[in-house]
Amino acid sequence: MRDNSAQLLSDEQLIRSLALGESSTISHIYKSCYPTIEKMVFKMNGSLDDAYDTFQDAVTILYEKAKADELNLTCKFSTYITAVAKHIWLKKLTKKKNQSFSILHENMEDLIGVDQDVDLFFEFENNVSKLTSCFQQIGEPCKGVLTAFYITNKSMQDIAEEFGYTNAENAKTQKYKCLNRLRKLFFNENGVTQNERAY
Amino acid sequence: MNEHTNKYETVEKYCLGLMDDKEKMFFEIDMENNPALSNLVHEHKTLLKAFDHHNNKEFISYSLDAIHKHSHSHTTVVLKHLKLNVNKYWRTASVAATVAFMASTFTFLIARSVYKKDTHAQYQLLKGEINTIKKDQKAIKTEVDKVKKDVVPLPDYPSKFSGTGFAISKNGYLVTNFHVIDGYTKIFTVTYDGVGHQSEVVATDEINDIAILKIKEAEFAFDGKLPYSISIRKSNLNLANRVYSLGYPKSEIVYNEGYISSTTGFEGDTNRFQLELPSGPGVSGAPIIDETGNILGVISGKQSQTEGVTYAIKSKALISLLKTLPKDFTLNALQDNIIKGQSRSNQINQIQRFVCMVKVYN
Repeated sequence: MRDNSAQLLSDEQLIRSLALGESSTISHIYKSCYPTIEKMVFKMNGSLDDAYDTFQDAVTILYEKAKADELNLTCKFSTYITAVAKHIWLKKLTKKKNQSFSILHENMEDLIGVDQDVDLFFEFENNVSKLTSCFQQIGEPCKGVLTAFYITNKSMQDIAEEFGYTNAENAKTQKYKCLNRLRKLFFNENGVTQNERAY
Repeated sequence: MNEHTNKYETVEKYCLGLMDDKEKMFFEIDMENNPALSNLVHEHKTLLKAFDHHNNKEFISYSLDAIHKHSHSHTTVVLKHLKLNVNKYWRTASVAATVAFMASTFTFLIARSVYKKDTHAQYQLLKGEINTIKKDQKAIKTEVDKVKKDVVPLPDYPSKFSGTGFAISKNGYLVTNFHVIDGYTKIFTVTYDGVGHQSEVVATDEINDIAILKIKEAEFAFDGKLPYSISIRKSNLNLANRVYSLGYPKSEIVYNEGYISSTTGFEGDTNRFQLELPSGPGVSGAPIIDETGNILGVISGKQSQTEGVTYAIKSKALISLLKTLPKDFTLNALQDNIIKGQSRSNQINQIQRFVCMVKVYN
């Protein structure tokens, strides 16, 4: 905790401002938590890139939980994020080397719920990669319309103008048609079943 | 088409939590009655969550990248620091490394020679070698008995070896180790009262180290009913089960107790099991008895390096051999025991009268 202003921040305030995505808070988390996590992953056979990726994943988990108002800490924020990162890295290692790291697991400071948080995270990750592959199949203009609405958060009016629909209402109809196609691809009708998860 | 759009719009409105309470309530009632709608909601939520997760991750990644790019990696700094130190003190470090290498080499060589020496004596048979005559009270009593009854007396010279044997029938059948009697024909069983009885070998199992002896005297009978039973049940061979044994490491009977420490024997031998139980020369052939008076096996040897580790032959092997005995032997007497619920000292009191010393002579 080199940052003086950040030092005054309580964990409760930290979670509240993380939920809002304040850049000063994210910067504070990086400064106060990243060195420990980098060292930890590095010691556990990870590269510096692995460490940074793992840290990003951990912050994402905490950000999503904070946003959903589901982050109720029973320990210090830094302890929690380190535990989450450790779980993530162990899961990645297990997958990479196709072996279990139960010995490392045993020595682990086990915080309630971390396991489920990480499992859920990997499920989401898997869904995102499935979504990406489905996106390659739905074709234009669907890809563009859905991206504009769900990812870049454009209004229906803007989308109508950009993609040449006569009005927002038509654009909306098009959006739902595309979404339906995506849904069918995503669930079962692609040969990819819901149960096929990487983790 | 419009209907479809409306449906999706409603589903999305619900998933994003944009409905007011009343609308939400009606929609949830609809969902309950319409599994297809409920499924659609579930799928829509999953898709929305995937989009949301993608966006969240992008956002965090974007925010962190901006900071990360301008930061020095902590670990890299540490590594550089270590490297500098090594350069600075390489002379000291190399001397230390040489010393460490030499030390470990010597340790390895010494350990190897010790290990080599020990491999010859890893498995020690518990045959007591007797070289001096100890004329004790029992021997004197035997002399007296010899005069009283007209039986073959114990030789008046020292026995070559001694072991332990236990009765398996009232009429004089006994179990001991094969290695105790191996190569000898002059065998005497010394019963609890100190009397020696000439015995013969009636059955052997060399691989499992078991021998069955029979006291030669026609009218011989042990005093009383056999107190113990023989159990071949696997559940009695559970790890940590408490057991005890009675044997003759000296001219008086000795009691020892311990527990089952492994269900296999020396180097994984499945015909034997391992005990944490003190044993010494002379207890070869002693019975291993559990708390309810079951004989689980026969002591056959110990590990010479480790104090207290004793091996016993499982009673399963014993039973197979007993089945080959003549008709004047029956297993019935060994099927149940009369000491099950008794105190340990009561059990011992009865059992000791059926445990004997086996002596072999040239």
